[in-house]
Amino acid sequence: MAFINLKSKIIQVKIVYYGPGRGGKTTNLEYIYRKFHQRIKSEMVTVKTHGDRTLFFDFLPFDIGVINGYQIKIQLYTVPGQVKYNATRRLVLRGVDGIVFVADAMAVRREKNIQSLKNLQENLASYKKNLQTIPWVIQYNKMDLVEQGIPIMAVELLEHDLNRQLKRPSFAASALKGTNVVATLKKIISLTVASIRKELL
Amino acid sequence: MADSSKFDPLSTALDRRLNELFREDEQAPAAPAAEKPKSSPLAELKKIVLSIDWEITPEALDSFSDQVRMLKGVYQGDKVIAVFLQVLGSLGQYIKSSRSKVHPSTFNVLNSVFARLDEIVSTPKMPPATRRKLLQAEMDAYQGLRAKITQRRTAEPAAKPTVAIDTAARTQAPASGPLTPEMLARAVAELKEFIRTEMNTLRQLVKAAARRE
Amino acid sequence: MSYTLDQKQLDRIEDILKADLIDNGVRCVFLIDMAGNIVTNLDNGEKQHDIYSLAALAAGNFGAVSAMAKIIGENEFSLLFHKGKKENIHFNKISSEFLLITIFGNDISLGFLRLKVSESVDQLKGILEPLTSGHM
Repeated sequence: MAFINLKSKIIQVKIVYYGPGRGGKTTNLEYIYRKFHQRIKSEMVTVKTHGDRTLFFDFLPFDIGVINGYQIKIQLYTVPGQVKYNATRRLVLRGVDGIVFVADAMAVRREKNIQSLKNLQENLASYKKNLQTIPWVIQYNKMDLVEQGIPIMAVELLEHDLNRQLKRPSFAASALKGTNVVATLKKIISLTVASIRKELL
Repeated sequence: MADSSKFDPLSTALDRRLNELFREDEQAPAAPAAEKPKSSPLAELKKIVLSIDWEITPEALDSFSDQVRMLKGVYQGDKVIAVFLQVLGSLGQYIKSSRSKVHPSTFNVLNSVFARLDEIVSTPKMPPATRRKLLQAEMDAYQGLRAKITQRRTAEPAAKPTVAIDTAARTQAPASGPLTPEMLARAVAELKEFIRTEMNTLRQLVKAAARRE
Repeated sequence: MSYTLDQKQLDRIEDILKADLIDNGVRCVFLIDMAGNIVTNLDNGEKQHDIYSLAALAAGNFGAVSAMAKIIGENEFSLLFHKGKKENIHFNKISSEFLLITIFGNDISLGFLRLKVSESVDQLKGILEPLTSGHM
């Protein structure tokens, strides 16, 4: 949940990148860190396995400055995507304010995307939250693999599988190359901050 | 959550800030314990001292006092060990009566005194001069602790009566030079007197507290 | 959903932490919520840690350990403490939503620290528990 400190006028907002294993959640954060760490002036924390899979979470905090007299701090987290880390995913989701669902556009991952979204719903429900009300966006990642001839799902199919009801803002992206990584981030921050704006005023 | 209107000043300000922060024009530079095989007479006391280090409970402190009292009986013939046990007993009493107001350095001193005692007990062939030297060092540390406690107490407004561990500072002569048997005997006598005074004070405190209830 | 603290509450919290812990030799203390946000933090002026990362990891760590406790049939563990060569970290749950994290050197015994933390937590509960009752 957003934490608002009336004394030091800081608002801390938690955004979680969720999705199936190896889908590109960590790659998103790594891209943001690599490109902008000098400007955002913070370090990225990763808790990984030896095989470079997220074990616990990745964490990247940064300040976006003062807005309406409040200093807004964003905390980006990723969850471990592998099925066996569900307990960890649930605990990283605790207090989440906004979500980026990173779907894997590879055709072979179609079922995994659907399962992961379902899993997200379940974990949110354990905190009495749901995708109807929480700010979230979808990213269809790995679009760059088309160039290597790897079968990629069309955006229409992905939208049908994952976004036909709620019609959330979605972005075709390549976390590796950086395509639409920033656009996704900016959108989720806007939506999340807007959703807590009544505390700001 | 519905997206706020494009003309909302807050969203505009936020969007502008995000655009500035995440401008993609420039290329940012790349980022980047010695346990003896056979059981020592101090084994039980050691367990208690270790457990106090982890958690201070009334039960642990009671066990501590009991063990010290028992060991005093065992080692009453050995003057150096007797003094060590007196110091440990006194520290235990202080911790018990001070509770959360205990001085933080107390536990370092307690552990150190015990460690030296353990060393002496487990080295029966230790030369008497070495034993006295070890005792001297621990007495110095003990004195240092008492000085800190007194200093802290004088800095605070005197709210309520506390155990007068600093009375010993007045009764005990400052030890300088090598510790002779005479000095040792005097130290033991003074400590005995000091313990007696402390116990009297404690008894009075307990009586006063009982009367108040 | 969110919670807010006013200046008076924060001042009171900081007074408690300073008197009970910092003034007794604790290097650094921070009060966080279970999502990893820092409610307040104090230190003795010596070393500056990256407290934001520490808070996130502490919350994650505590959460993971709590989940482990449940798996082995414990409601919760009474001690979560990590010992280093020079610096140590102690965790203490204040309520279902808040954690107190203390960093201290070897000049303070764990037993003493736990005694002082227990005192602080009793006082902090009164301020913090009403904030999140009825919330998640």
